[in-house]
Amino acid sequence: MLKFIIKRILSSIPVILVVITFVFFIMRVIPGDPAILILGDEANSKDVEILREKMGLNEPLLVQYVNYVKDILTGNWGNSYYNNESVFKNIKDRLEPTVLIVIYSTLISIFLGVPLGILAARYRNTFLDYTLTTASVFGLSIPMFWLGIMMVFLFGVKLRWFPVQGYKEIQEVGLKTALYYVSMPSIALGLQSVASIARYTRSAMLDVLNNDYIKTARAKGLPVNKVFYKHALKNSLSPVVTQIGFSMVSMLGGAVVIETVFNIPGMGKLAYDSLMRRDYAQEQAIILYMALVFVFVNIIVDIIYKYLDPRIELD
Amino acid sequence: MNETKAEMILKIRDLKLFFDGDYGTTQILNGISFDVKKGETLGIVGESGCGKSMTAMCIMRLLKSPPARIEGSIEFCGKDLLLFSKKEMQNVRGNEISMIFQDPMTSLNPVFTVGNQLEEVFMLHQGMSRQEARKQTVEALRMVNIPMPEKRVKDYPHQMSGGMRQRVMIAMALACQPKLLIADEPTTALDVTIQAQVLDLMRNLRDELGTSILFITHDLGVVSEMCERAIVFYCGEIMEEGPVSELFSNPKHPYTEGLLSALPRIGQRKDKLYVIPGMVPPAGQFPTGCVFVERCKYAKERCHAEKPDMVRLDEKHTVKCFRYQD
Repeated sequence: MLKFIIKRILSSIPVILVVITFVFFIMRVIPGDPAILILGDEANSKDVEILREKMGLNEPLLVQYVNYVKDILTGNWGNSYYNNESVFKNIKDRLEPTVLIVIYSTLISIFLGVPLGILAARYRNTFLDYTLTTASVFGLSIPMFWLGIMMVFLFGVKLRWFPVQGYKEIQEVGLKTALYYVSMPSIALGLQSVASIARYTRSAMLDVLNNDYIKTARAKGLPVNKVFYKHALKNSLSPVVTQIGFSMVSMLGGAVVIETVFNIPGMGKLAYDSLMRRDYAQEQAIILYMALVFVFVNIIVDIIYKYLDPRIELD
Repeated sequence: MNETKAEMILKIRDLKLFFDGDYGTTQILNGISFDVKKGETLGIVGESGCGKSMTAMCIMRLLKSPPARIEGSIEFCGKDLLLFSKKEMQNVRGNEISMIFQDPMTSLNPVFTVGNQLEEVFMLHQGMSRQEARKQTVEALRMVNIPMPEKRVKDYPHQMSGGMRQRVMIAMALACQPKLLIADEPTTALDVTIQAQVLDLMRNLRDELGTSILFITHDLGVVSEMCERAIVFYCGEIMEEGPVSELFSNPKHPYTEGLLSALPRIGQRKDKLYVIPGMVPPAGQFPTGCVFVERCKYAKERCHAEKPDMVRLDEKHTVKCFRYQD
């Protein structure tokens, strides 16, 4: 197991390198000069030039890139241009709501998506199945930001069930209230995953039901439910787990949108703000962070695979 | 047909199977009738797609209906299985009638241990606790000659060879000492030496437990080894039925004759094996007269127009061909 994990971490180094490279160059390609943004529109060009020199922005791009990679590898990820704090501290301060939202939405999508998919497969080609399939098309096609705004309007402004925006930290108000604050954003963020996981579960189940061992199980005299929930379910979970891992990671991207809509001071909001400020060091750090989470989640998914399917050898 | 009713395990009469689709109905089986006696092994022989396996699926009632529609009667120990409720049928499956499938590589669930899959049968049909079932499972594996069964119960199917998996399937099928075992091409996917072992095992267990076997195969060699009686299927109909020795030495139906001529024989050197001309027509496009007419060397005008009836040649031998009518 340990050997497998080490191997996986080593093999993900190229992925991380590609991510670093992409982010570095894309940040430089988008228009906007951080020095001007820091000093303001009215700053004279001499001051801007001095600041650019200080920030190392006057070096050739490739030199900047090599310096950046060196810094990353030596653990010096830099300071934010915006508040001059270390990028790590900024991320740490903003991590809590994002982690809560992603876990919350993932749980919603697992505990709603998987059972709905199972139901659709169990009663395939019935009214229930058609309803669920249609609903999942809606779930997949509704834009997250629009759904968020509508939810704010209905449940926040009209019905006053949930706070309209903002976040209170666990340390300050306790886990329950903190969860209360992230409920609406989590639902808005999780809906697409509920739909996609339900569809994956349904098709994985139907796939498995065509297998010979299902015929064997029925020929044994097992009741339909046992055949379905024991013999078919465990076999169809592997692709579903992949999909869950994938949605979890894409939720990090969704958090950028949803935290902006709900004005939650999380990592997504920080990513958005840093981008607007051309805060190179901070933005690069956040994206690198997300890439690391991606690698981590994938390793977890592979380990879960092993438990679902004994044929898979990790080493 | 003169045997007393008590000896009859299975009595199928005029079995018809249809599949109702969006583009009309396809008939798969047309008027199948046969009996299986207690303790006997009856072979069903025929080419792929002739309805052998479908007959088995009808008996087990494992076809989804609709689209499948079954007519006729399948009497098992005096009761018509087609009238059974779902629940009653579950009590029959795996308990009184069980089945072995063709491909042992795919017939066991890959994510559960073989022990777990075997225990299920004991717990389901004999109401055993998991511990009792585990004990019985070890015994069942020992019965089918699996070495070190105490260890092997914890194996997953992929840790076993094809022959072993088929023996596990046999153990599973015979777990509740069923009255009838349906073996659907149980040795087709195995290599020849393993085939012989599995057939041997089945024969021994049959004699030990007194189980009747319905042995479905396209392998005539296996039929001659395993069965006392055999039925020849073609296009969803029975062409000929009789004792194996007689079918082999004295085939009456042109199709049986063709099948036997197509067999290679030791000591006889031929450059080419005999092939029955033509192809099996696809389901739904069977000829209106005798189903074999298009490939038959004796075909006459009458064969195209009318369906022949089953002709009784002697007490045990029947054939469906105009050549023996009148």
